[in-house]
Parts: sequence; C-alpha cells; structure tokens
Amino acid sequence: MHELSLVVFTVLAQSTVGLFLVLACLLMFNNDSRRQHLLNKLLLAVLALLVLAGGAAITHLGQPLRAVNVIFGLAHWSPLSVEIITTSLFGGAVFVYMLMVHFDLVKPLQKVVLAAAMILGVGLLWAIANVYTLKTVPVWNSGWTTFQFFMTAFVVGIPAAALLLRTQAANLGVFQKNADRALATAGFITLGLVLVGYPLYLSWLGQMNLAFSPLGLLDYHDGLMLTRLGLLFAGLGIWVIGATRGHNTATSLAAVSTVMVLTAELCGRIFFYDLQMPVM
Amino acid sequence: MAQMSNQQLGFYVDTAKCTGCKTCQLSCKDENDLTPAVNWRRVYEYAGGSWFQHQDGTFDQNAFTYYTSISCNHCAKPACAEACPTGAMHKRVSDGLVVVNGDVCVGCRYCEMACPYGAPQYDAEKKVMTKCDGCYDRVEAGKMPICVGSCPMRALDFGPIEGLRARYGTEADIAPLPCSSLTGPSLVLKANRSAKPSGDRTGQIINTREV
Repeated sequence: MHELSLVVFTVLAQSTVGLFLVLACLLMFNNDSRRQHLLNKLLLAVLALLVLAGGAAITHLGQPLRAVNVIFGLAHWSPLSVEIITTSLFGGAVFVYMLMVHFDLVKPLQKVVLAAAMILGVGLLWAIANVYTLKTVPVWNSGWTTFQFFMTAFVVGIPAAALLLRTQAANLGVFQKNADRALATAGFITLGLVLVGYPLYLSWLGQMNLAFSPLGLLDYHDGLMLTRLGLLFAGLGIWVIGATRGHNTATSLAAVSTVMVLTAELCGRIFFYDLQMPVM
Repeated sequence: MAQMSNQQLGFYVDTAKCTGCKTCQLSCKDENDLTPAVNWRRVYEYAGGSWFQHQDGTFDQNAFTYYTSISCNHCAKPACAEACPTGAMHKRVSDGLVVVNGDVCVGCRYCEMACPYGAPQYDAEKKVMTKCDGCYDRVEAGKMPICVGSCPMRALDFGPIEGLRARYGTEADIAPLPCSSLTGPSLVLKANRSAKPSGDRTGQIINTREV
C-alpha cells in the first residue's frame, strides 16, 4: 500500500469530473433561471473536491514549493504536466462558469463556457489515464487502465450527483425526482459495466506474461478486490433499487451509497498502484 | 581513455565475469555519499533451474545463477526524461548522459515509475530524485567512473557506446533486463553461460530486498 496520495488524487479527481458532468448535463438542458442558480451553487462541491484532490496530489511531491516547475514539462508533452495543467484548466473553467452564473454575466456565453468545462473534464479523465499507460510498465499499459479511470467518474459521480440533488429536493420539486430516476438508470448501466469489466480486467491481468504474478503480490489483495466488488454492488445497488422503487429523496441512503462506492474505488486504486512495485 | 566528448557514453557489463560482489555498488555509494536506501548501481541476482529426469531414470538439475550489475543505461530514448514533468531529468547533449537537475526536480517520482531499470532513485533526505550521472566529473578529468575502476573482476567498462559495441558486440537483451527496444539503452552485455534472453520466465530476481 503505497502512493496513497496519488490514490486519493486520482479517485477524487475522476469522481469530481463525473459529478460535474452530471450537473453540467442538467444545467445544459435547463432554461429556468432560479434552478440554474441553485444547481450552480451545487457546483461549489465540485470545486471543493477538486481543491481536496489537488491538496492530496501536492503531498506526493518531495518539493511541494516548486510545484510550479511542472509547466516546464509541457515543452516535451510530459503526460504528468499535461494532467496537472488540464486539472487546473478544468477547475478554472468551472470557476469561471460559476462566477458568470452567480453575477448574471454575459448570458449567451455561459453555455459555451459550460461546454468547454465539460470537454476539459473528459480531457482530464483521459489525461490521468495517459499518465499511467506507460509502455515500460506492462501491467498499466492497456485500455483497462483507461476503462477503469473513466468508470470511476461514473461509479462515484452519478450517486454523488444524486446525493447533491436530493439535498435540494424541496427546492427542485419534480425536476429532482425525474433527475434521480434518470440517474438511477445510468447508475444501473454503470453497475453492469463495472461488474462485467473488472473481472475481465483481472482475468487479463492474470494471463500476462510477467516476472511476477500480479494477482499474488500481496496478502491483502484478495480481500481488497472482494471488498471492492462487494462495495460496488451494494453501494450502487441499494441506491438504484431504492430510486427505481420511488424513494427519490432519501438523502442518507444516497450518502451511504456514495461513501460505499468511493471506498470501493479507493480499494481498486490501491491495488492498481501496488502492481507497479516489482522491479523489472 | 579515448576522447569522450560529443559521443554517446555507455556501460559494458560482463555477466560471465561478474561474481556479484557488489564492490561497484559500494564504491558508488562512497563516491557519491549515498544513503543505504539509495542505490545508483544495483546488482541483480537472477536464478532459476529445476530437476529433470534422464531416459535411464536418474535425475539431474540445471540450477543457474548470474549477476547483472546495472546503474543507469543513459538510454537513447530515456523513459524517465520523457516522463519528467519539469525537465529536471534530461539527456546531456555533449555526452548523452541522463542526469537530473536537483534544483528543478519537484520529487514527484514519475521518472521512477517510468524507468524499467530502476535507475532514478528518490533521496528521502534531499526530497528529490537522484541517479547515476556516469561520474561525468571524473570522466571529464580523464578517469573512469568509480564503479568501473573499482571492479575487482574487471567486469565493467565505460566509454563511447559505439566503441564498446565495436569491441564487445551489441548484446543488451539478457534477463532480467527488459527488452532493449523499449528505451534503447547505451549498454553492452556479455552473456554468462547461463544467460537467458530478456522476457525469460524460467528464473527470477532472488535478491529483491537488495535492489
């Protein structure tokens, strides 16, 4: 269990992008000004989580005060520099959009900025995956890394968005109920994708021709993978089932789900970083 | 020693001569004041083998062990420098040595992840990456890197890589080292009689806690 600050950064950043994409979709198709201001306030959570993720990333550096040096790597397209700059641009775009809505500035441009932030968010998911698909690290250098990193956004982002919307159920009325049901459907599809995808990933990993067995590296890995799958199933499951049965405002249920899937993704990411440990 | 400027420098490692004594590793630590956790040069002990049955029913074994002493291979396509987000890890134009500028490095350890040879080493006291610099200060003074000079078996050599290849051949794909096509190491190996090709799975590194 090492690189814990990177575990926290990547999972939080991806989850935050997922959360933002859901809220941004709602904002994109919304024409009600009062609702727009309310949803806009929820975006504060996106910024807060992004700051938290950034903080975790900084603790990974030996020389955090020199962090600004990472812009030099853009000269040769260092994947890490691209990731860090994309994170900043994404956060910046979300912040600018929030200010524009809050102060009712240049209305025609608001959705353009929102769309730019969405593109940067997807770009960030790609940029984080690109950091780890290194040809010199075979266990990471595959589409499975990209798949997992994108799925974290959906796995955590969807229930987290449902949670935020449920806290505003009284103000949003039927809009929130409809959104919750739509999110539950998306959550169900996500659950299917991950519960099929992760075992396939493990099966691919087990068949790799490596100097070490990636599935037998550390004693706690069996428990970690089982915990992850269990939490994913239970976490997404209880919220999805509840929502499809008409319980669309239970905040605590969505909160429990969000915590469970977040924990599941942290378990998965700890396993992911552990794989890199062996030399040669 | 031959004129070394403006030529890619590299190492030669004779895995037939190397006895795994690790004098190279220690002289490097001494020369560069490295802590026990920081190994600019590492000696990998690769071993394997099994029992097999002859036609007459008797058993025999093919156990093997050999050593590969590896520091940094100052690669033609250095994965560490390509990864580095600050440009601190860079390849010198003058001699192709890959060195890290400790005043620019942020200590993110991404180079450590990218390098398949384990060359970049994090110094927990300095909080930046450090690595083999080919003893360029010694080389500029006309001397050999300290590891090469200290090897009691004369298993190491250093110089312009083209010269080393002309003298010793072009072998660089011996287990447990990864395939040389990944990063183009400036490295020439001489095969031990038990040497296995890169990608071999019949043996394993058995001194993992040392390297």
